[in-house]
Amino acid sequence: MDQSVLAIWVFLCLIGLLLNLSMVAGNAEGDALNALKTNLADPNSVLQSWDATLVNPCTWFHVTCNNENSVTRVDLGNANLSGQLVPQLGQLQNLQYLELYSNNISGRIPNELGNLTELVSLDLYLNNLNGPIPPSLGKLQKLRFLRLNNNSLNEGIPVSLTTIVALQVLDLSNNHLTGPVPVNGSFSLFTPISFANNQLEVPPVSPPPPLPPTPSSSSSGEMAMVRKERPGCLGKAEEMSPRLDSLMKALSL
Amino acid sequence: MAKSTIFFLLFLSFSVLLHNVTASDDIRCLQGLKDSFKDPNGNLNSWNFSNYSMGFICKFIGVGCWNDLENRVLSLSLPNMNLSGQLPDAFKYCSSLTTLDLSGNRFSGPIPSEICSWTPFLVILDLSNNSFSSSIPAELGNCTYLNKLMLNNNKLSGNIPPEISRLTRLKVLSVANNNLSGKIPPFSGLSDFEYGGNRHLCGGPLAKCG
Repeated sequence: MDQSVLAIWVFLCLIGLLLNLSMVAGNAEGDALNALKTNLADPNSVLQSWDATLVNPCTWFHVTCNNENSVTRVDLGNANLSGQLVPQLGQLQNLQYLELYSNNISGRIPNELGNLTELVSLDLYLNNLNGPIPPSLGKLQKLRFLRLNNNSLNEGIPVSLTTIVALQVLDLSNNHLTGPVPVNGSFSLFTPISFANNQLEVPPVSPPPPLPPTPSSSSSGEMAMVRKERPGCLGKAEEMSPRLDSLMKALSL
Repeated sequence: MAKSTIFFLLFLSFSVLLHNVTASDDIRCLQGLKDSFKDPNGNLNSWNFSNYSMGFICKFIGVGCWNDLENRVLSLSLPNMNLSGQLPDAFKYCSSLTTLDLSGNRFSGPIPSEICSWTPFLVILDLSNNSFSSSIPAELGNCTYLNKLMLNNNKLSGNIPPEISRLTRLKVLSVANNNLSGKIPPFSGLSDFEYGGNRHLCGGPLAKCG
């Protein structure tokens, strides 16, 4: 009699444990995203659908899942968000696209993002992020797009990034990065465009006649390459004034 | 009364000039290419400039942008589109271009010697399988960041300029099936190369010269 009662209790406990585990597993990614929501100010209510009581976050707007209900995309570009990122983002094991560009997000890039080994695109550009680029990002071997431009990131470019063979588009421009620019590994493909407007040590843009490239001593400091975003409005206006002059002359004013 | 009309006309002309002039460089680049290329199959029909919006050129066929928010061209891939004509200086407005693939078309004329001042940040240049003629410009040696240079299957003549052998990042080079001659300059660091199909080319991995 005692043994069968014991057996029933064990059985019930096991069921309870299993149910508990499945619920927790279903919610771990939701919890991670909810931690992000808690850390962000959201004046446009883009995260309104983010309901942590749901079994998984796959019905939330701006979240995409695969057919195993695991998060593959977070699309929150241009959403007027501010606040900070959270280390829990590193728990989204199947995440491929993290799109948080053009917001007002501050604080550091969490080291834990280096755990997102399925990541294909990391877009944090046009925010207020500070601190270093975590060397752990070198673990993201499937990364094709790494755009961290237009933030306030400082310190050096981690050499670990040169091991990411899949990297196609790198933009680190418009930050406060210092130190040398790696040219080995995947970085052979990247030009001064990717590094413009930092405090990096970059050799002169226009190379002298056949000389092996040496780390420049004479041109340390900020690279004098201005990216034409608002295409040289001033330059164009200067081009224009002679035309305006002749126009006015023609009208004899 | 006359003066106010004149001022109005002036204002109008000013705004027209201003519009053309503040059109982003890269838009000007693509517009120039479209005007310059002959496109009998209408492959560039998606290149529609009638409505400017954020990143609109990024949706054009063959155009890759640096990001979704800027009209800034990273790559141009127009292989096998039956395009012809010569390479125009409109390229100089695509100042952020790093990949140019025009392979498998019917482009002709010389490879412009100015190409590396127009687009100094080229990493991949693929002009293979066209009808480019005249010599390989020595000025290609100014494309400091070039990793891959494909010039095979054209009508190029003359020598391979030694300046190209000094490109420190060059890893892949093909000049096969042209009309090149003379001695192949010493390259180092090439992982992939093709020189065959040039009757009077010698040296390097080919037969010794003279």
